[in-house]
Order: sequence, then structure tokens, then C-alpha cells
Amino acid sequence: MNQEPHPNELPLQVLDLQIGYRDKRREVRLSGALRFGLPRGSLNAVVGVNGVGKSTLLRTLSGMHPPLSGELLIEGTPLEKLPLERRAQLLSIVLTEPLASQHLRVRELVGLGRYPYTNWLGQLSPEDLKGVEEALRKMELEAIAGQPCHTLSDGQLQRALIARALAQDTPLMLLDEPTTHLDLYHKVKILKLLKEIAHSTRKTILFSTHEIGLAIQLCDQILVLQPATARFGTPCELIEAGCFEALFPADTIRFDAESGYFRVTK
Amino acid sequence: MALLLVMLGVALLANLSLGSVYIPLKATLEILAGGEAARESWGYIIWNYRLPKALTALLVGSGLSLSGLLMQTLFRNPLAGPFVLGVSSGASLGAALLIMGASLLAGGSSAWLVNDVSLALASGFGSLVVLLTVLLVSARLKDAMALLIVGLMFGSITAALVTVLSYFAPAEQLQQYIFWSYGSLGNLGWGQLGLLGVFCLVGTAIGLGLVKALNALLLGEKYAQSLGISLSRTRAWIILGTGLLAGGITAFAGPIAFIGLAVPHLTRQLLRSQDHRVLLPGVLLYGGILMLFCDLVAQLPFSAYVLPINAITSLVGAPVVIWLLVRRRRMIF
Repeated sequence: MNQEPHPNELPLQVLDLQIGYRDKRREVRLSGALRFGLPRGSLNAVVGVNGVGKSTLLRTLSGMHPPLSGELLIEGTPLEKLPLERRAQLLSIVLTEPLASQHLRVRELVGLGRYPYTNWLGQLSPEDLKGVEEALRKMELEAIAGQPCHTLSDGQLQRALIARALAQDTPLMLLDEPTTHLDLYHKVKILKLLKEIAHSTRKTILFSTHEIGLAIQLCDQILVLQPATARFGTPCELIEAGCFEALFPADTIRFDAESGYFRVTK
Repeated sequence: MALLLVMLGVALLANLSLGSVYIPLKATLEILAGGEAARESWGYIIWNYRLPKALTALLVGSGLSLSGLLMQTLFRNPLAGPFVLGVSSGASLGAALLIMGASLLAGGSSAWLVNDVSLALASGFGSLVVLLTVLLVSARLKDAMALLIVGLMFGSITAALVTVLSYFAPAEQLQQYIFWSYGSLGNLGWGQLGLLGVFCLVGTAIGLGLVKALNALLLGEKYAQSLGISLSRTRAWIILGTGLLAGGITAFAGPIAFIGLAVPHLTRQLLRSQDHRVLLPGVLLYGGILMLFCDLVAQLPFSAYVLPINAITSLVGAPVVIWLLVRRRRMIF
């Protein structure tokens, strides 16, 4: 492990967090207890097989789903102590589900990201408008800012959704599988944009993905979720520790540590 | 928006001037300005009959359209209207219990019980009971869709109860109930009109206070929550606002169909916007205009007949919606 960063430099800190579901009869624990902190200005990925709890983790971190136990600190404050209005200024999300209204124009969509800062009518101040234009520019959306969302391609829509979260101007940004439905070129493009944002605006970004190979190449840190354990570290540390070998059954796919890619077992 | 305002003025004047007795526009304006009427009967007709009716139409059209907009945004469902939560079925049950239930229990001597005021009270009480039940249930439901189904179920239950009542009711009471269910704009005196105005004003104020939350809901419930909007609080306010508007209106004017469902769509098409800061005044104006126009048609100018308003709203409104959809090919929602 590299040197421990100061807690002030960790916008998101998770202490022995146990995620899962609880109903009347039983408790379903997903993964092991989690303990990690995400440094300011870093791009981080959550990887793991289907059903291991990536989405549940993101929903827990964004406060939409309660944890079974453990602590979750956003900028040093426990999440449950933050009122909704304050949360909205610290944490923004990008979801996989479609927008409720497909007829919003891209600029309107991005403008809704400014809501935590507006008055009771939701009117955008000149400063808000500047933030909107800035987000549009960063996500390369200026040319299509006037189009309704239903006319966008999957890649454009994903960039518009990220621009909305960007306009919300939060230190922490959580994205659920931002690269699904995209071809390789657009996957890489989205992830490079995210990396650029994380480093240039000092935002902390966490996204879930199935693109482990791309995550290894582009992310600062990766969280590997497995049914009983979880490992967090830089891609190199995780490769050296052999974390990716055990991710999938070896008779189907094996991890090639040399190239940092998975290969089909022949 | 300015166009809508002008159209509202025109619709209002046309509504006042046309009817079984034609009153020239000039005379209408003079009477409204407080001047002496050319004929005494004209002044009486305007002040005691047509103006209260026109204002009722305005309130009913605006209020139902706004509650329809609230429901459509809350449920993200283009088929939602002001009555999906069972407000009108509650009102129908209240009215049916009063009209038909009283005669079943007290025999023929109960006719004195049924009048405009007691009908308004009974249907208002019916809506309130259903509304409170829905509010209670909604606190236990996570999913807005489930709430929609619950509202529909309540509607079915009350409709079934009304059917049972009608089955046993004497023909005369049954007819009275059916007339109530046609809806009517002309039964309100100035006092009742004032009360209806208060309901609509408070409902509109609630709607105005919800504008920001409604816009956030355009993204979906989870995004809205991530923007700092409390879903449970917003839902409760929307139900309350809709209840005041739709419940109050149904109590005084009967269950008026179609307007609340259609006007939000018509307004989105006209204003080409999804922003509730634009839509909210838009539906209020558009709803008022459409209702005044429907009322104008219903009173069949130059004849002594008055058609049931409930039939006219659908007869006039439905073709307009179909025409708009076919012409534009695409619904804005």
C-alpha cells in the first residue's frame, strides 16, 4: 500500500460497511465488509461478476439503500446525518435506467443538475448558466445542446447524463455502468473523459463496470468485489496480488497478468 | 402565453353573451362595468346566472387541468388524470349514498334531505375519505406505480358499491343520481363559488410550490431524490393538492370527465415545453378556455336546451386531441 492519505483528502470513506438486503425472515449479505477511502481527484472502478453487489454498493453509497452495518462518511460526515438538500451538493449520480421524460432537451437536462443551488422555482442564475455551459463544453455536447434526448445516440445520451451530474458540481460522482450499450471506441471515450474530469476538476469518481481490461488501463484505483471478500488498490497492486485470477472460473477465462487482459481458456 | 390570455378573455365574453337569450357584446360589457342594462332582465341574467356559471367553468377547467398535470408528472403516465386516485369515485359514492341510500333507509320521505348543499357536502366527504385512505396507503408504498393501481382499485370498489345501491334504488332516485353524474356548472350561487375559489386557490398555490420538485421528477424518482427532493413529502403534497382541486370541484360541479386528462397534453403540444414553470400557468389558462368553450356549446346558443356538460367535454375535446396527435405524429410527454 502507498502512504495513507489524510482523511480530509478522502471525500468518500467506508468503514466496515456491510451491504445487502434485509427482509422479515433473513439477511442477505453481499460481499465481505468493505473498508476503503477514495482520494480527491481520482477515477475509481468497481468490478465483479453479475449479482455480486456492484449496483447495491452504488445505491448504498448514494443513500438510496440502507447498509446492513458499518459507517459511510461523505466529506467526513456520516451519510445518514446529511439532509437531502446537503447530500445533493456533495454527491451526484448517473443511473442505467432511462430518463422518465425523453423530451427534455440536452441543455434542460443539464440545467436540472443545478437544482440544489437554485431558488424555490428552480430558476437558473447567471452563475448556474455558466456551470451548465461549462459542463456541456467538457462533455463535448455544445453542438447537440438543443436536441431532445430521444434523438441522441447511446453514447451522446451517456455524455449528456454525465454532463448533468457534472453541472451538479459535487466533490463525489457515482456512475452505474456508464459504458454499457456502447461500442469499444465510445467506452474508451467516456472513460477518458471521466478520467480527465477527475484529474482536472479534482472530483472523485466511482463507477461500476464489466470492462475490467479498460479499468485496469485507465483507473487510479479499483475495488474488486467477490462473494466473500473485497480488495481495493491500484491496478498494479491488484495484479501483483493476483486478485483478478480468481474473479472468473479458470476453466472458462483466465487472467493474463502480462497484458492485463482476460483470455478465453482454450 | 399572451395568446392564451387573449383567448381566455374572448371565451369569457362569448360565454357571457351567448345562451338561450342573446345579449349583445356591447350590452354585456356595459353590464359588467356596472352600467345600466338596456333591459333589466339582461342585467339579472348576467349577474345571477351567467357570470357565476362562467366563473365556475373557469375554476373547474383550470383546477381539473392542473390536477391532471400533477398526476401525469407524479406517475409519469400519459393516461393519468385528476381522478386516478379515486377522488371522483369517492365523490360518486358520497352522492349515491345521499341520493339513493337515504331513500332506501328512510323511504319516500327523504327527498328534503337532497339539495345542492347536502350533495356538495356528501360528495366532498366521499372524496375526502378516499383521499385520506390513499394518503395512508401511499406512505406504506415505495412505488408510484403501485399507488396508481391502488387508486384504480379504490375506484372499482366504490363503483361496485354504487352499482349495488343503484340496483335497489327507486327509479326516481336513480335518475337524480344519473343527473348528478352528468356534471353541472350552473348550480353555484356566489357563496358556493367563493368556497370553490378558495379550494382552487389553495390547490394552485400548492402546485406552484411544487414546481421545482415536478421538474426534477421529469428525470425519474431516483434522480429527483439525488437532487435533494424528498419523494415522500412531494408525493403527499401532490396528493393533497390534487385532492383539494379535484375533490372540491367534483363536490360542487359533479364528476367532470376528460378535461383533466386532455388539457395537459394539449398544453405541452401548444407550448412545446416540459418545464412546469411554463406548463403550470399554461394548463390553468388552457383548461379555463376549453371549459368555457364547452359550456358555451353545452348551453346551445339561441335555444332553450342545455346539454350535459360531461358529454360535451368529451365530444369537443377528444377529436381535438386525436387531431393534434395525428397532425404532429408525436406526443410530447
